[in-house]
Amino acid sequence: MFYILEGDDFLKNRIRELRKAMGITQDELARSLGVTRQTIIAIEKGTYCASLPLAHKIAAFFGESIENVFIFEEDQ
Amino acid sequence: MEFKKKMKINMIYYALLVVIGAALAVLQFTGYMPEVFLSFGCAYAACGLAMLIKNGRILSDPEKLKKLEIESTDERNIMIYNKAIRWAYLIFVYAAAAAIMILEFVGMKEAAVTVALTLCALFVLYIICYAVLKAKG
Repeated sequence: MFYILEGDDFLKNRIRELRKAMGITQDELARSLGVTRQTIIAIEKGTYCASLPLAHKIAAFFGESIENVFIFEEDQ
Repeated sequence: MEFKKKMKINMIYYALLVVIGAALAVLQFTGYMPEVFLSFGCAYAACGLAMLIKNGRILSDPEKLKKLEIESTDERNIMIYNKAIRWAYLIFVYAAAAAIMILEFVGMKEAAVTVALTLCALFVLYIICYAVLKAKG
């Protein structure tokens, strides 16, 4: 799990875990989503927070709901 | 709009740039324009031609086109681009403010006033852009 600091809130994501389970590379995921590999790396590392449309695309790609991919927890 | 279509429209603009540049150069050679327009014309034509060749190559290669499309539309790249503009704006404002004080201090009053007016124009532009963007929602 990686954390994104947005003000006082943290946003975890399971992209790396789901990607590995699917057996695809960052490059393949990036190409499928129409973004650069650097963007996927940044999201996985937690240095960049994906926009809502991209979060939707990522969740749809893995066949999961947004809540299952991006876990929002307040006041951690 | 489809990215390929956008690039094709850009090709028309680049072609226009070449035509304008060549026209300026020719008009200068024939004595209808001041000398300064020769450099403008050559610069326009050269830039337009270079971009035409570059875009032509990209359009003929689907792999390169896809790569460019991803790089141009990638949200993180756009965020970095916008962030760079914000940083450049802030640095310019601080540098101009410092320049005004230094120019005033060394007695170059006219230059200081020019920089100050440029800074004022920038602030007015900022306020207008802010109001327009806010109204757009």
